[in-house]
Amino acid sequence: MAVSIPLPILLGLIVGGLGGTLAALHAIGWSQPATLDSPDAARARYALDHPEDTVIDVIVADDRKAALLSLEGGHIGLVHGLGDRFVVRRLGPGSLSALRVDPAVVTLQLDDIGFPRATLRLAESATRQAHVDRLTAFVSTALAS
Amino acid sequence: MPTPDLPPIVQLAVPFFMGSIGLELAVGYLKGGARYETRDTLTSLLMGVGNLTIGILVAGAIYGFLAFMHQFAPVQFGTFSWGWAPWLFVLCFVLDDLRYYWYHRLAHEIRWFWASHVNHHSSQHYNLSTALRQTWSYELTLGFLFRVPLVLIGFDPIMVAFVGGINLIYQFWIHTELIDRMPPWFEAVLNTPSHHRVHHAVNARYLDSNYAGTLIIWDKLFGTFVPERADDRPRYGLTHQLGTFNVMRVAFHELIALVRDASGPGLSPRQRLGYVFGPPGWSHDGSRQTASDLKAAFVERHPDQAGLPGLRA
Repeated sequence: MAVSIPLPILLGLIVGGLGGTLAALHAIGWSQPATLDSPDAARARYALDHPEDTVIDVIVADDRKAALLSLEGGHIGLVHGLGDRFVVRRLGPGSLSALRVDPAVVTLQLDDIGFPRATLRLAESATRQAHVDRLTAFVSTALAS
Repeated sequence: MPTPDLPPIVQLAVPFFMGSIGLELAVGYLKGGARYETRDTLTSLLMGVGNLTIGILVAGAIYGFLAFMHQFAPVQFGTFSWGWAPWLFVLCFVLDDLRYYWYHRLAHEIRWFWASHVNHHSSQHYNLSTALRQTWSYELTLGFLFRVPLVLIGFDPIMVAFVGGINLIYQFWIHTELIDRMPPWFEAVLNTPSHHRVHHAVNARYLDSNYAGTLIIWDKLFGTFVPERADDRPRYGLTHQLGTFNVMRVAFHELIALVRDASGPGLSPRQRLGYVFGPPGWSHDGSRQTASDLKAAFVERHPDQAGLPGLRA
């Protein structure tokens, strides 16, 4: 008869192995989120995905976990932390399904199954308002289309 | 000759998988060279558990289908005295590896299959847990049909499943950054961490290359081999990275996007088919980029790179 692992032992191995691995990772500090040290760091990360775009201006979130980039041509670049890495999107008309603006947080609902929501901690400022105005236009365009 | 009672080798490999991840994690922490992230690892391992569970649940149905098809084989090798000889396992393994190459290649070149295989590429990390980030929709997208030629040739479905399991286990250890290069003879014949890092990379030159399972010779034979370069270190994941660790979104995002695209308003039947069977990144209005588009754009920005492996002249 062929050797096999009894189901309870297999389940125990999987649950124990998974739990142990995650506990070890957290204990050694590998749960720390990625941060952007400067606007140039956001530009560099954005350029990896969209080297063809020209960045005009950058606003880094207060917690340094995300950034918005004004692009030539009217689009907005988004660099957003995911674990210890970043995810990049070029936002334009049709990219957003909703936008929520609170005093210290801007929340973007993306029309993107693989990246549904982005949260940016951004205190009120003229630069933030300029980005919010443009993002609002993207939402309006999406709803109108 | 009676059918041998072959062990469920993928299940038996689970302790090896978990132990190896622990070892890579420890070495990476103590010496560097490997990097994990807690939630990324959780997602990868949950995808692996889901894949194993689905595999166990549908194994009977898939076996039944392949056994049914096997009836139509002109010769059923398993009925002969040599039907379970070691050399036949080796031959079956090599042919199954060729089957894997073509399935894998089409899984990158046809969106229908990519919608399933994309799961495996969705991590921005490259470590042994990434190897376990496996699809939940392989059966749904009919990937198992690629095994039909083997059972029609005459190989028993049990042998086909067994060698496929060996191939899967072989591919586990190559998902690491801890090993730079294997000896030259090894790199020339077998798939290695270096070759497979290239396969998982999103750098333009590395896209759609190194599809091998065990034998890298298939890529060299069919013109899809690209060597890893020290001056262009691989960056991993998708050209359009996922912004979530939610396993349901990881598992089904591309299938849902495919259905949304193909059922969009105002498209011709040809355009709808293009969204299903065209290459990933294809769009009816040219608003998206395929791997070929990304390579061409890279060469336009770096004309000195034209003609190098992975890039057109």
